[in-house]
Amino acid sequence: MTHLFPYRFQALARDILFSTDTGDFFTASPAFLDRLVRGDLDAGEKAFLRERGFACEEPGDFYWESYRHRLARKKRIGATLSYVVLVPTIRCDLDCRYCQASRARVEAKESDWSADTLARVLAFLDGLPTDRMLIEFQGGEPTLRLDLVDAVITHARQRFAHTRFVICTNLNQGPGAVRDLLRADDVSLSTSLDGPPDLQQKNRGLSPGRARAFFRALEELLTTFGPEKVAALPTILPEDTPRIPDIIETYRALGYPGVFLRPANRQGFARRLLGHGATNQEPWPAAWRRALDYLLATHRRGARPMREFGLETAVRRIFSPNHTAHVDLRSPNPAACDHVLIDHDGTFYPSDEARMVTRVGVADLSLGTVRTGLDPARVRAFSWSQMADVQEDCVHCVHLPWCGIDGIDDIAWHGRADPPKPETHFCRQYRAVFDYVFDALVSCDPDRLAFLSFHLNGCFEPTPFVGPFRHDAP
Amino acid sequence: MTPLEGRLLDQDATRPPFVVRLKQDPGADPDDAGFWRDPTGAVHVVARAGAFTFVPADPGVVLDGVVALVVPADGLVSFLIRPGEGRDNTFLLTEACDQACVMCAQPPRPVHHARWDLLRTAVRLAPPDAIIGLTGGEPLLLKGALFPWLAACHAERPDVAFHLLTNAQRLEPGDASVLRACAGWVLWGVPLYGPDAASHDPVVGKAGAWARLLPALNLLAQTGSAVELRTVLMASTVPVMARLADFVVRHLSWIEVWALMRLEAQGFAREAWETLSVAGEDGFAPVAAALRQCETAGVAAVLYNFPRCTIPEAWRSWAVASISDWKRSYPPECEGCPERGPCGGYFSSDPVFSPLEHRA
Repeated sequence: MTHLFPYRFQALARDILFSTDTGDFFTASPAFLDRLVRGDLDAGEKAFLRERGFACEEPGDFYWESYRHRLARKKRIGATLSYVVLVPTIRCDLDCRYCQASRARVEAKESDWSADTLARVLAFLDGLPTDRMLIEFQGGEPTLRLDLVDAVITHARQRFAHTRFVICTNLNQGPGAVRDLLRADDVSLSTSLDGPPDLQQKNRGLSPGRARAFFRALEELLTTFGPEKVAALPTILPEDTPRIPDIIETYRALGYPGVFLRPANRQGFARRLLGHGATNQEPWPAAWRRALDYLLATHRRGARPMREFGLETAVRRIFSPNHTAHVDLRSPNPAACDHVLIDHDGTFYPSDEARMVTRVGVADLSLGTVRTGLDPARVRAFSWSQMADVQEDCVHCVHLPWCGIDGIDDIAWHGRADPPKPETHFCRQYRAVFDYVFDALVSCDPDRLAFLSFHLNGCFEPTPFVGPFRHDAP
Repeated sequence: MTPLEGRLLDQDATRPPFVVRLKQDPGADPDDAGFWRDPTGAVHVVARAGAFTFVPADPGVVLDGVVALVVPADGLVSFLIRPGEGRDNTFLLTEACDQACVMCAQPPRPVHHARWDLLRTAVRLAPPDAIIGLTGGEPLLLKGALFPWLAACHAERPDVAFHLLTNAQRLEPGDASVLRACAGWVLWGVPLYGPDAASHDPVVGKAGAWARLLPALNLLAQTGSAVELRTVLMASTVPVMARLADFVVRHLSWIEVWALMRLEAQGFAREAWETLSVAGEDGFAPVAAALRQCETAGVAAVLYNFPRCTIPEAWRSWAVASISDWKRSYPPECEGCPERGPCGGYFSSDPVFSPLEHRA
């Protein structure tokens, strides 16, 4: 007797897409769905369901055990805290239009770690039961306190066998501030590059001279260290979505392998700038889809292919089952389990966004301080809200096994954590991504399939990267 | 005689077989035996079990450090273990098998070769960190003796690892504790030829083989066993390759590696070469798709037995020089090939060297 594992389904343009909690999927005709619901399947169809991971013959058999194994792998989350974001100062020497981070002016007092906070941060790192550590320095502008950055790096290299450091900097202090640090194998940087000089100047509040200096610094560091060590991210305001092709070409010209098309989120000052209400500008999902069409069209015309890292994360979640690390797209997504942030005053937060929501006074999402330690009750309470698997809207969604949940994003965009999920910015954004992927997959268009394959394997060619997922075409 | 054997000049039906390690400078081990070659190529050995003389089939063979099985009754010396990089050290335990694969390179017959005590001495004399192949036939037909033998070898030489080729048909839930004890030093090479009984069973010539294989694979997974899944590429497996790759990455993603193997023109495969073989270039697209599926899903895969020039360039890095050194040959056109270094060459039995005998 054939037993079906729990499954969800949703209509695509013509086919029906089916998925299980393990992230296995297939497509079939509406007629197949009718037969499936009626329990009227022939032997070949039952065999297809077993092969695709949707059914077993009896509990304990090969397909049952395989399902258990896949479910455990899918839901596994690293239990070791090995990624810490540190904010040694919230002072910053720029005043960007959309500043997402809580920031203070350069002259501000009590905006940096005290000697006591530094000592406690180092003690906290000492107590982590791991020999691998990734530390990201954010701000503010961390290069305003290179002494604190140096102290952490020196300490961590002695404490952990394997270290990686990322310095998130606006490069406003010039390349000299980071050049020496970057010579070490375990140090890289990440900067904000919003597009061509005029966009950079407008968004970052720069004079034309400072904007030129930024590009000189970036190009010098890229020439010396290459794009692997000198990463860049754009922040895209709604008014600038028509400029996405210019943004992409800026990244292509600088030699970057791809770009993460990231809309300005409504945190911090950006929240004040963008407001809560709908704008009459193009919705982000439509702008994003046009951007992908542009990436594909320019490659067809002979340009070097470029990745979009949001798409890459989604296709890896769908097609590479071991890929569970990306925190935006996972569920459960517990707090302070494998990563945590420590603010300028020693307060723990689950993420950078949580720190900003707290700062603007919408909700207190802190998880304790380096003086008192992580607060287990707050960590638990927060973690329970970060589980799409038990969220009343998400449980019916065919994308659930690949998607995530982000209550902080909901608060930032909608002012509260409990709006109906399908109406949230998060859901709309990722629905657009998943719809794009499955439309491309069932399209049989070799170019679009090659584009997906390029995001998974780096090869722009149509060799199939998934097995025969289609049961019957409608 | 194979190149790994020698003819014993002093055949003696009354003398029992023994194992020695040939040493230019014999060490303290009582099973080390000094040797010298005379100008005729004969090798004279002085061993604890007595002196003997043999003529190696391959006159150029390097003998220092070789662990040899001497069978005076058969007049034969077999090299069980040869030290050095790239040496294939495999013990043939039996020629009997409970399957009859259509492409079997070594058609089964009911003859066992496992001289357990002598083989255990051979393992004791193996170089440090040696990997020893155990093959058949089907070795698990002898599992009652094989499992205790493995445990004894491991107790004596924990640094030695074993690569055991088995169809897994004889594995049962009662073997779980043995399998657990073998985790970390035994690699189980298990063949799989299709994603269902309809595709797998005809290849292995046994109805019900698939139904026995699935629980055996479960058992291997649950006991933390390292498995090398093995699929020979031929006319019957290539058409199901897309489904098989999907099956492997979904249901068997815990394996160590999936080996996609080019057919060897020996035994049954030689007799039926024209029906079984697939032309390299035409046949490669499904193989490329299988490799791509593995890459996407994060399952390790390798190509065995492929000369590099038979693989489209983009896929050559997946090839492993897997053909045993003594079975490997290169046709004359390989002279001067820039890829000769990493290339595993052809089986000496390949039709590029020796035309197939056509039966009327």
